[in-house]
Amino acid sequence: MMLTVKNLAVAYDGIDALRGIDLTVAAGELVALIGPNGAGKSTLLNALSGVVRPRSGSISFAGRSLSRTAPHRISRLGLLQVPEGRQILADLTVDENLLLGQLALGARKQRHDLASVRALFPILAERRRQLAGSLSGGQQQMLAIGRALMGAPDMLLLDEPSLGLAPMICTQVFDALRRLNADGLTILLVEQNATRALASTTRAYVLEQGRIVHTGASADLAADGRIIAHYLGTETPDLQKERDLT
Amino acid sequence: MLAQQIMNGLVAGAVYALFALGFTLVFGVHRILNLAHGALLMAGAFIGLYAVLAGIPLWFAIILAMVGAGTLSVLIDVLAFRRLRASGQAEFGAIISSIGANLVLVSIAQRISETKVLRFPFATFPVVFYRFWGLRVSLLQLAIAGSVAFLLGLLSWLIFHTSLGRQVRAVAGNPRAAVLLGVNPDAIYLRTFFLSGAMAGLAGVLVGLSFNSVHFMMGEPYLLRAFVVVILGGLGSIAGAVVAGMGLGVLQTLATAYLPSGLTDTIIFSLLFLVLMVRPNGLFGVANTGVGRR
Repeated sequence: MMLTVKNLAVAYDGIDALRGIDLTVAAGELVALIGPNGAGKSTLLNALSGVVRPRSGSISFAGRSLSRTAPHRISRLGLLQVPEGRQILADLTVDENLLLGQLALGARKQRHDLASVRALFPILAERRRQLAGSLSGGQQQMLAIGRALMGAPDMLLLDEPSLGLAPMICTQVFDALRRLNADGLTILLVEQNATRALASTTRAYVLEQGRIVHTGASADLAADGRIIAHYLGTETPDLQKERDLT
Repeated sequence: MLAQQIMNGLVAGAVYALFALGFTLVFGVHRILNLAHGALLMAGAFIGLYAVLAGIPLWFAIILAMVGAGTLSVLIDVLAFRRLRASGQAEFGAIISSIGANLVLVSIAQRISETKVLRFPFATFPVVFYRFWGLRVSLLQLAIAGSVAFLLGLLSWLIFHTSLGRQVRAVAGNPRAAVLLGVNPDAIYLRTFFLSGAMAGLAGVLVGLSFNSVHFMMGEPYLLRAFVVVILGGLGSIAGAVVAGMGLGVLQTLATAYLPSGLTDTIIFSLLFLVLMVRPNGLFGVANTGVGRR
């Protein structure tokens, strides 16, 4: 297993944010983590990245326990997070953001360079000397993903990559993720847009109020009308419309 | 005569810029107003002076002063600021604890020097003058201008063209995102504090040599001037600190030369208010600035 989480619990000021989380991701998988706002999706990613310290439970990545590893070391081990809201470095240029991404390489071998990231997201080549803060939301998302790729991740954690993006841009970002996964990158994708997330992944976990309440093949979860309706609201018509457009 | 004063002012201003840069670097990266920065200038001057008195050649004494003041600066970070940073209460708490660090350093220096004004031995730095286009320039002034220009160049290369510089700017702009990219913020904090202290230490030796006077309170006026420089230039702006530092040096020299004595500070601070009325973020500043700005 690339990632194994056992019985993980996280609390903020004594209030449980996550309880009894068991989750595994195998090498090469593209797994979705979906659930309503406030379910604890970002908390789980931040616990994996070491930014939030779990109260109990264990996290192991590529056979190595992460419980006492500093966040910057976790990134350098090849478990990289693209955080919610992109968090690009606005005062650095596009190229500087990408070069900074190489820091996470540590002693590992490079898999992407400026040229291959620019091939994946051509807009980043056009805007190379611009300050990252001047990019649009979609371009910033591409920069954030490209920047993570520069660090040769073995596994990528993505927090709401579709947030605030126009549907067309969203499709572009998800296409890029599917292509990266086809090239062997393991991905855990956190999404509020459940329909879209289930459509692009093979397996999914449903998180609600800090617990995993469903898990299974994405197609099965998507087919189960109750899950979409009850936990995630109905978004199917929108996606249908979008498919018709593209 | 005027040209001579302006040139003297530029040299004095170069030292202000050097000193203020460390102050603005720490502010830009840490959001900490390090009120012990003046004490670091004083500590640099003390280390340099005592090294020279011990028979160490000046060039090596200067290196010792820079390394010594840089190390003290790191120590202040570890002892006075690190715990506060972890608690997330840094902004106000750090001001108080930097006042404490300042008091400790100043009183140690007062003890060591027995409250006396110390002087470098005669001709520690060769007393040589040159004439260019009717201007009288000392070798010391040339050395000051040269070393400050070299360090400013080095610092801006470091900040804007190296991986360390990208990491410093990343931590200044968005520490959380920086960590997720594999930047170790503690290592960056140590380095910025060391750089900042080393520049203050060099400024201390240069000030001590220029006025041939080293005493335990010598950092205080420089700290006040650094505030002016940094606010005029825009908090966190490197170019701003350089331009404002030079400008302040010239202004101060002219005011001393042509106006009744005792008015210098009145003029400097009136100018500060005037600039703030027109440009509240300073000459080069923008709201929410960091060291990321050129």
